Amino acid sequence: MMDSRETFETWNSLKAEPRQVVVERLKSRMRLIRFGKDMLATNAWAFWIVINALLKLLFSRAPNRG
Amino acid sequence: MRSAPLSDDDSELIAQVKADPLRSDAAFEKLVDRHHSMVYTLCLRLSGSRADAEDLMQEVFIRAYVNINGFEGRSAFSSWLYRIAYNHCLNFLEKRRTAQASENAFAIDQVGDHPSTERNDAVLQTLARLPPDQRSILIFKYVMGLELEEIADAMSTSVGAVKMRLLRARESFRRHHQAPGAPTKKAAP
Repeated sequence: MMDSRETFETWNSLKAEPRQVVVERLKSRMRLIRFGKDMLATNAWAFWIVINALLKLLFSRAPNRG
Repeated sequence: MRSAPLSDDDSELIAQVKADPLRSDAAFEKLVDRHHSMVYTLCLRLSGSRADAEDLMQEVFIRAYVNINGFEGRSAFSSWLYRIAYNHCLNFLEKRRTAQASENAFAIDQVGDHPSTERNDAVLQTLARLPPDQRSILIFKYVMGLELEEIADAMSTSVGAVKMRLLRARESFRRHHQAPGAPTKKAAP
């Protein structure tokens, strides 16, 4: 439904490209997400031990003054 | 809704990402390289602001990456991606809805993102006056050059509904473009 070549070119020229730095930032963010998932998947047992230790430490130091 | 076959290249990359999400950086990055221009164009022309469009584009791809298992291959990957982008942009516009501020941002922030001619600026100004759904359908059809079936997939509607909306959007565009104060009426599609 384009009336003329000129009109087509007008609309076509509204296509845009993001800055390359933005695309690279996006890829970095995706790598970070993947890294987080990877860490959780492969080292779940290590996280569990650390969290367990932290919880024990927290509750063992809780004041118990009646 | 259309059942378009996946582009062979895309389907191979998606299969890689799904098969081993933790080792598939390169595959998804290829998908980003392939589709970032169209997603950015949609975000930019809908939001009217380069800064917002850059953020929106990143969020769209992150959503797609995180939810890749939700893509069932019933439509083209690009259509699925445009659907995420379209919905995300509409949500964004809804949140930002202060119509006057939006129009000003549209007019100012897009400078430098297209060859600035009187004609282009007039088209952008007219687009800014349309409601988001009409603006979207014109962008899908004329800026991004999508087929009706692809637009229907992206907007989660039928081809018939797309034809009807497109007709209304074109009428609306012409009406606004010919309104007093509009620079030219020659650029109406």
